[in-house]
Amino acid sequence: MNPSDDDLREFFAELKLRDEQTVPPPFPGLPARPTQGKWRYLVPLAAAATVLLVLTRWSTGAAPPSEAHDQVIVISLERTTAAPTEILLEDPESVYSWESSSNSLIADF
Amino acid sequence: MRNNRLEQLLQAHHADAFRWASQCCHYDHHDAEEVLQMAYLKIADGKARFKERSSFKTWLFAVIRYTAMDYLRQRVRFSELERAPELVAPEPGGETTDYRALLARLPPRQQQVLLLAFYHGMSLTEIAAITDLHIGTVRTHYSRGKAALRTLIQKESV
Repeated sequence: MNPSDDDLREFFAELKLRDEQTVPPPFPGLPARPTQGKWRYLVPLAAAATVLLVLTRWSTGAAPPSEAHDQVIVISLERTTAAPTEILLEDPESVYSWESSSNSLIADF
Repeated sequence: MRNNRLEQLLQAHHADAFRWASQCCHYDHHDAEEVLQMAYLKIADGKARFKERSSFKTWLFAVIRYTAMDYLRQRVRFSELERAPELVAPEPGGETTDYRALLARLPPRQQQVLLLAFYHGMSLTEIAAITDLHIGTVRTHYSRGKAALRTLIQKESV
């Protein structure tokens, strides 16, 4: 700008004066970033916790507990000298005390 | 730059920033508020960062100008900052000379250069940074704009 621009300076000074009659809105403040602050810390924390958990499992070699631990199944084997058919004679008395079904008729007469 | 310091600087320049946003939006105060809010959001998000290569005001004005261009383009009301002179919002109480309308008769580039130089007190180097123009181009707009505005003032007998 040079001294010969006085007419223009006057023009813009007048324009500025009129503009100043319009009050600017109040300063709204720097807008907050709602999501960035939250995720900035949560995501690395979650990742670190996952890695730590996997490493702990891997280093201890512990298998995950299962429900089979709560049930005990005992299998025992017995060696006997008896013949395989002996089981059929387990109740020999039933054979010895056999009675004919018509025997009562004979007795009554 | 820390957010507290940034907020202090923005607050200090808020009135000037609003007037520049209004001028970029052809004195539509609603648009100016929108543009300013969007510019502040860009700054808060770090999409626009002050790297101290220029003064804070120069940088802020450049951010506002780019934001206004994007905003106006999105609204499909304007093409960049081109606008017909008769569409400029008239000054309140228009019984006297309408300075805004007179200035709006100049080509947009010349308007911006003259506003930045005479209204906001920027140097030509700073204007080149804000408008993203070569310093030689700014000088041309400055000289032609002054001559054109002087002619208009004489015609209107301001």
